[in-house]
Amino acid sequence: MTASPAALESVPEVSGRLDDGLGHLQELRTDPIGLLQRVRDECGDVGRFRLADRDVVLVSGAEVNEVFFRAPDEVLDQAEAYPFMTPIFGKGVVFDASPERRKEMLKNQALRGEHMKGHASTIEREIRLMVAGWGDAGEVDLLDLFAELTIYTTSSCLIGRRFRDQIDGRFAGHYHDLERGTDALAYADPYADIESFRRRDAARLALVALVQDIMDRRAAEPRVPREERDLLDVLVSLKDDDQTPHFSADEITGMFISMMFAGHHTSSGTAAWTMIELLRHPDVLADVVAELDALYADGSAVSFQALRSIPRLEATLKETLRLHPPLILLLRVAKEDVEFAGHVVPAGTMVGATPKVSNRIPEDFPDPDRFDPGRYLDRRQEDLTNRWTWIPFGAGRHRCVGNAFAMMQLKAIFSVLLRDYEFELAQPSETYRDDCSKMVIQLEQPCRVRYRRRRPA
Amino acid sequence: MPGPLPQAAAGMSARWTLEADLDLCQGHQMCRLGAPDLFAFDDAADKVVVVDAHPPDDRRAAAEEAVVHCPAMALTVREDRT
Repeated sequence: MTASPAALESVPEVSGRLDDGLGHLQELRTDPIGLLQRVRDECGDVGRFRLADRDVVLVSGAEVNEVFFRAPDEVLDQAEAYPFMTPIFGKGVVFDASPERRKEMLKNQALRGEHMKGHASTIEREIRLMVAGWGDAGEVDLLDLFAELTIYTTSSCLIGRRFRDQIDGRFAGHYHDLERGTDALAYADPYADIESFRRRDAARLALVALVQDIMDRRAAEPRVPREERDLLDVLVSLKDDDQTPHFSADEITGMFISMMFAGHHTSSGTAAWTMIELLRHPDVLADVVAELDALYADGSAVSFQALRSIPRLEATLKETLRLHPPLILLLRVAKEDVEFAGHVVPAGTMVGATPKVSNRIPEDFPDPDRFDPGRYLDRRQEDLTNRWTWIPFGAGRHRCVGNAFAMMQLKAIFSVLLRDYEFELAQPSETYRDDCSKMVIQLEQPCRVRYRRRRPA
Repeated sequence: MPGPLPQAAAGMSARWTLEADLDLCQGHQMCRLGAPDLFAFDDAADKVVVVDAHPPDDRRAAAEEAVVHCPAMALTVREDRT
């Protein structure tokens, strides 16, 4: 233990620690938002809670958030901070690549600006496929809808169209079980004998079997033309010196799971919450629908407009992200002593920042619980003004590299849905809420809405 | 480059500065799509280069557009105090 206890004791600890050897772990598993908010309320910008045998220093507020987000990996490292991800990705696949690797990924792969137009048409195609069987009216569960849709969009954009066309709803179902396997109990034991971990491990095996089956089918087919090859073809073609495959189906599946992870539940949840907030605020919805109708009146394509400014829809998405950030707690491990507002946090300590709490700091976001897309319209740009506390995408060096992709995807989804259909809540407004019992937060089911095809204007 | 700003013609209003925080730049190059005259790119460093920190006023809207759409929130338009 490198930590000097004296140093950490200068950081106040939040109330509620249990004497069960797990500290605040049970509260993190049942009411994480309550715990995180109480740390700020009781301790201020720098507080502390206890996760099994570790201290977690929790920072919030612009000054300390900036220190947190600017710190290089040599100071605050995230590789060890998410033990609950290891059984999901598989051993050897890290939670997040180093900044150098991220830079390479951004340079070579799918997320750079020049690829966005192709992704936008892919997403339009996928959303149109999802609604193809809807008929003129009906009911749909938002979690089912968007979780499946975003499996298809992320797989198609990141792995390739060929792979996407070889998977179906089963892939989304297993992937959902993986996401449900992120119980914070993993901080005590990632392989504890609990239902969600058993389902997680079964789901990973099922995904490997699906990928293996696709690999077998491809092996039996004639080679496809070069321009149709996808990432799976490339990975399968890599051979060791003795001509055996370099990667197993298990390793390839682990790579695919990790590539899709960051963009999946995040986009899915944000799409669902955007729909809910729009239906809770009919005036905002009317503005957004009018904006979209005007924008597309000239018959322009979704793949064209989704890359351009759609101010009211964008403001709605940003405000949804502020109130419902998909990740509520971002974690690092201090690799050397690091100072937050006068408190020296010793090497070895876990340090967290919290989008959920920071996004609602009343000094930065007046009337913080109010849904108000006007915060980002005209000269009010509360996201830019508060770039260290408006943090649904994180901030700094590890700011989500997929955020431009995510915003484009959400604009494309709502460009299709809101022009073709009208929606209404199918259950009382307050019954739409997040299930926070896992580190990957998802909407609680049921979360149904009704739709009816709009009459041609 | 830091240093005293060139004094504009008498009677000109406050100037503004276009800045990039290279700690934050992730090399998306979205800024170059909309304002290729204001931003260049350093391939070796994989970072943006602000071509002119004090562009003419008729480029201000384009600069602000780039600030809003930077996926890394790395750009700022700052008012200079005179």
